[in-house]
Amino acid sequence: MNALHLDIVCPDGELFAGEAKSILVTTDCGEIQIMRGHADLVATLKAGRAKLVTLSGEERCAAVSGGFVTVADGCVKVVATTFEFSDEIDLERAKRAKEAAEEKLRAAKDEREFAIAKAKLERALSRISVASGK
Amino acid sequence: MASAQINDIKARIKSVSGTMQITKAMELVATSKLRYLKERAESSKPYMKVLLDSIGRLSSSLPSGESKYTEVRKGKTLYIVIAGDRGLAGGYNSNILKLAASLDTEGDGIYVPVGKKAVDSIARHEKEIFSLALSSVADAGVGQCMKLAEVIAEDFCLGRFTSVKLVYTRFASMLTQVPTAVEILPLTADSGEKSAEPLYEGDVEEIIEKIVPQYIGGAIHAAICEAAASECAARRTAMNSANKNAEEMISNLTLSFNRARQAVITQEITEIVSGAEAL
Repeated sequence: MNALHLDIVCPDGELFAGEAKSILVTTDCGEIQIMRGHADLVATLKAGRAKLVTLSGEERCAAVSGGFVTVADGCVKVVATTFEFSDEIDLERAKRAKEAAEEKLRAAKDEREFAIAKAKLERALSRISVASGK
Repeated sequence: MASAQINDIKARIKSVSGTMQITKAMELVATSKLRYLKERAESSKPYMKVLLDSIGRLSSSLPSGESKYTEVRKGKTLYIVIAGDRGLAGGYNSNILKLAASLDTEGDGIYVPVGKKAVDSIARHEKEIFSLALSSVADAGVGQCMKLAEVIAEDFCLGRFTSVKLVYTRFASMLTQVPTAVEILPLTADSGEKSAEPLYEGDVEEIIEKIVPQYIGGAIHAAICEAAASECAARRTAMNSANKNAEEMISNLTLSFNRARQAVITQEITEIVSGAEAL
């Protein structure tokens, strides 16, 4: 068997609980793919894509906007701030959010505002790229 | 004289049934809202469970004294008190505010009131307020909780307060809601044996710095979800008993109304009969 136990949760609820083949997430240090037998790990996530490969080999892409992932005793836990599978993303809304974030980025007066706008833009871009399947 | 009494009773019955209409409507509203709020509270539970689990493991794998978040220091406490936006929910608001007051024995606590009732009460007692970012329960979303959590984490590290307590009403069942206080900071390590240090993708300090605000925000959000369900359930119960009381009052009043009316009739007959006899 090559299944790993995976839990994906975000504040709105549990999105996945059960067995999967592998999970790919975007951490602050880059993308990592976790499969069965991975060493214990703690990593923070940044806005980006995630790819879940189910036991039947089906691939599901998702947009994540931060959080963290832990691997302990062979159980993978993805604790995300938001986690949306590609078919649930509202592309129009993401595009509007992207425009608004770009506007704010230009208007930002200090570093803090700039960082907030940048994070917003990153989230919107990851949603758009996941939803349009690129 | 007697007819004045009858009019009084009539007016009472009218006013009680007017109140009953309101309480009945409020009960219906609370019942329909409760279903949604309960679902929301239920769905925030797995997140909280996984979060607590991971945080517990993480803090027990940290070398002691490594992080400010696990260190037990002396100082003030930050209370995040979650009450309701509106009254008429039985003892819901007063119970939670009483619990918060009993925890703060030193009287120098710093507060984050959540919900209009908490804001009012804490302002009235002239306590130090940390933030009013979540002054309304109805508008408190995940985003706001996360933002607030970041500020809390920052000030916790600076030592403005050295522990953080969440005071909210736990949703035990439809009929029982328990006011609870939970300490969310400093982090307490799992009581079990020290787990082996996992691989950290990046710098440990940085990772902790990023995870802890998420944990605080998640905890606040989950507590608000639960408190909102508790408030609604408390309101439903309160309105239900108000309805029952109103019904009982109306039936008692109707009884005395009929008695008074009968007394007037009897008196009139007696007067007529005795008048006829006198002739």
